[in-house]
Amino acid sequence: MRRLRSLLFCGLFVVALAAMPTRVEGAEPARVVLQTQSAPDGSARLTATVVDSRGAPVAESPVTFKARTTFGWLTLAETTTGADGKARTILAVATVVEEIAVEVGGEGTVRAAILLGARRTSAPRIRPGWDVLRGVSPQPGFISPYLVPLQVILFGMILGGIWATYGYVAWFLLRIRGAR
Amino acid sequence: MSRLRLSRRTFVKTLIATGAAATLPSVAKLAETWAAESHSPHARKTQRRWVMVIDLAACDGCKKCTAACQKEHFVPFGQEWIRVFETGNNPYDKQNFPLPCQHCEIAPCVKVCPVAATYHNDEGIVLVDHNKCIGCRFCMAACPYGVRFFNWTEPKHSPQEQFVQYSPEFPVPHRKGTVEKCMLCAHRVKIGRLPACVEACAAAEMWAIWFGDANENLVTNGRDVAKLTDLLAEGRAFRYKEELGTHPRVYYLLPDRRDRRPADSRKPAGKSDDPYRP
Amino acid sequence: MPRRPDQFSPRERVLLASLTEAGPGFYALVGVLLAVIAWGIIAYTVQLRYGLGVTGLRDNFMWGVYITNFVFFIGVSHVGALMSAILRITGAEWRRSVTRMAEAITFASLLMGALMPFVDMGRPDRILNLLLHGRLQSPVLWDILSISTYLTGSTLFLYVPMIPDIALLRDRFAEGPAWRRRLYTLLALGWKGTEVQRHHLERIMGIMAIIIIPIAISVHTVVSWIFGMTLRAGWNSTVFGPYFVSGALFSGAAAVVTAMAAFRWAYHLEEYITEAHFRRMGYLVITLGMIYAYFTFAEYITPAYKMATAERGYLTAVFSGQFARLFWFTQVGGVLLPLLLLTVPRISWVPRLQRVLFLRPVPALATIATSVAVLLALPAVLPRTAALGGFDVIRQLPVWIIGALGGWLFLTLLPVFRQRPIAAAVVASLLVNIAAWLKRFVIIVPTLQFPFLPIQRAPAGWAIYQPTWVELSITAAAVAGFVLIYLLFSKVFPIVSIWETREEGHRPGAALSPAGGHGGVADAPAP
Repeated sequence: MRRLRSLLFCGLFVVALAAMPTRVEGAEPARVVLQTQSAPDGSARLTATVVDSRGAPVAESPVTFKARTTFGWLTLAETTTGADGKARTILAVATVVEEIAVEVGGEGTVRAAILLGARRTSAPRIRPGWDVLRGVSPQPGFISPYLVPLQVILFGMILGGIWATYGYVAWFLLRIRGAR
Repeated sequence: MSRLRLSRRTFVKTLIATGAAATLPSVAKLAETWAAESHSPHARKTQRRWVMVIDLAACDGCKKCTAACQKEHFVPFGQEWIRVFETGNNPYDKQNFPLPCQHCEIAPCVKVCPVAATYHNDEGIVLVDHNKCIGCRFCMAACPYGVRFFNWTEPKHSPQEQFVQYSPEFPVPHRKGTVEKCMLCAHRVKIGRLPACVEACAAAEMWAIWFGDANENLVTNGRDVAKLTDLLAEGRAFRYKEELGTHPRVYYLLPDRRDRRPADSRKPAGKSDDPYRP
Repeated sequence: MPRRPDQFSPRERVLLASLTEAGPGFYALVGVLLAVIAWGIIAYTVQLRYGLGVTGLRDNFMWGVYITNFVFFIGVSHVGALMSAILRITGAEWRRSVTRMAEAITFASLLMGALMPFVDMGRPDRILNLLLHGRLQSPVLWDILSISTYLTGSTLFLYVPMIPDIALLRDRFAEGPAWRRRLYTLLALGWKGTEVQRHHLERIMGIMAIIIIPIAISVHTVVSWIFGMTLRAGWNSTVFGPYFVSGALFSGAAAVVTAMAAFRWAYHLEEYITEAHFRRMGYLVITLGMIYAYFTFAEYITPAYKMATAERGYLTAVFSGQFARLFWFTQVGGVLLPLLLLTVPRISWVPRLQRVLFLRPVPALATIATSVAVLLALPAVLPRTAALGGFDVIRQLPVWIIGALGGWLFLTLLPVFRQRPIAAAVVASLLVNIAAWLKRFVIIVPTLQFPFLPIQRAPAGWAIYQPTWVELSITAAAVAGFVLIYLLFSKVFPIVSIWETREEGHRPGAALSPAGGHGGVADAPAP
């Protein structure tokens, strides 16, 4: 009888656990789900949902969002989960990142990752060559490894004029030669 | 009479024809350039924009970066592609100042090169094509940072060096009569490795040199990864001789800023919530 | 009555003597020059073999004596445009007998100047890259384009007014050696002195005189821009273009004075190059020197007044540091003294100086010699007096004493120079040219000595520029080459224009008469 009562109590406790998923000590995060949702402006909303082994959301669990970079993982944000077991952050417009990961807990034992695909910006601000001419640089044309039309025209006009005059002079010399 | 006779009309015609013949190759080259540029595969592809950040507060002047660079590139005698200067007027404000090539966006050396031997590669690194360089040393005169060197004599070649395939990104073996400089380890960053000086600085547990992609807005010092903009803002960053308008790609963090290590990536990211806004 | 081809008129005999007569002095001079050039070629092969490391150039001093020579020779070459074009346009008739000398200087020094950047190149084997991969954005390309344009123009300018003379030579040397006949026949272009030919010649000279002036100015402007287009303190100057042009004209005019004196002495041209010519050239040198002095002042006073941090180093070194002796020599010995030498002997009170006992040559020279001997002995004494403390006055005492003795010597020699104005002009012009070379050195090297970051961690001996024997040998060879080209030119072509001076009727000094004909084509040799 006494044994039965204790069993019943245990069952009630489990129910209570189920009913009050938060503020239960000892609930270990077992799984994390990372979702992205893109906004019309191009930014992206990252949501990490942390649940324990029974699928219940885990509150106040430390969550770290990370991005994979060329030379290692960059910490994007460190937050804790809310009452619904969710942590959120925003990925700004035109972010250059291919892979986002989320880690739960200090050791990062529970983690999820998501590939963002080709979320890459186009060109850098200043590129050598003709980009320099496109109004980004204060030095149009001087950096370029190529011929620049304006310079070619300028040099062509000056040197062409002078050498054409030389040619004119040479023609006169030939006329001197031909004169009788 | 075999004397050459020319009428004015014939003469003008000949002149025009000669002029056209002389200018045709350059026009063709120009057209080729235009075509190549507008249909360049890089036009729409992602570009790297490598930057270096040197933390003057962390640098203790051990010069291991210089040594590592010399070992990596078989740097000839008398050259230090990253040279650690000692600035300051007295022992109490002595400051170590590592100076690699600044890889300027408006590079004076690139401007003056008569044969386009020094140029920006697609990732913004200033390289030297040692097969083209004529050794006029105008770039050395133009460089306000004094980070270009010259092979005044035939450099000593070590046995390993002989087997290296030359490329402007890894200019080994070195050639007499050409200009040398820091290549920002273009051969290493191409395959995702850090430059030799950065690795050496991390190996010496100083972590004073950061390296990364400005488009990605990320830099690393071999231990931590940080957002470039945050690092620059918190480190009170400056660029050396910025007033010259060269737009260097090497940033320096002030040595006497109040917070000693701003580059701690574990710290919360301040008020800005968007980590990637350049 | 046409002359027979073998008949030389007396004045032709004088002017053509240099073409036919060659004494032992000539062969000795050519031998010496060839030896110097050969030695320079040996030095250059050493440089080719071992690289530019055999020079004193190092990473911080990437340019040195070679570029100094380049700027110097290109500068001297400017006199051709000045004499032939500007004086022709302004109708200065006295120029007629010296124009060709000036043009030949232009030709010879342009050749030597254009050679220098190639000597300076680290990879001369890749010289074609300049054509294959040339970037129009680089001042080096501007140099190449402008210098080749100027060389072509000044060669035309040298050649065209020589055609009537060549025709004369063709007629006179009909019996001469075959190479001369062929050369003169080829170059004379069938000149017969007809009305049409003279008209064409005049037309050509009119065009060339106009077009050569902007070309010449652009050449030295562009040369100055290999410095002016950099960010270095000391080179980063907006006034460099006109400054270099003024210095170029100054040194070129002085070089013409030297050449005039040399040819006058060697070829006995006293009748054609008179003291009046030296006086006129002296006025020209004085004017150009004053313009140059003004530009120098403007170039140095503006940064010196502001004393920006970056410029402090080289300015201090130039005014009072390691380059001070060179700099002040170029200013006092290269500008002030020549101008005084060219003006002061004409002042009326100069002979009165001889009445002063201490300015009479014998006592003055004796005293000066004694003082110099004492001065030379001073260094043995000075280390002990250094214990007096670092008084700058004591340390600089020798400099002041030398200055005072120099002034004394100058005053002593003034009456001598008054009696021999040509000697004064030659001394002045030699001083101008030596100082012009040194000044280009002082423009190039101090700036490199003081970059934005001080020279640190350089290997031993790399922090100071010291020209080596290779550089000095090649420089000497370049000077010798210049003289040789000039000399050989004067052996093949008349160095004084025969037909242009003829219309004055070769009266002594008549070249200066304003009544001389205009246009200079009135009296061509009759066929």
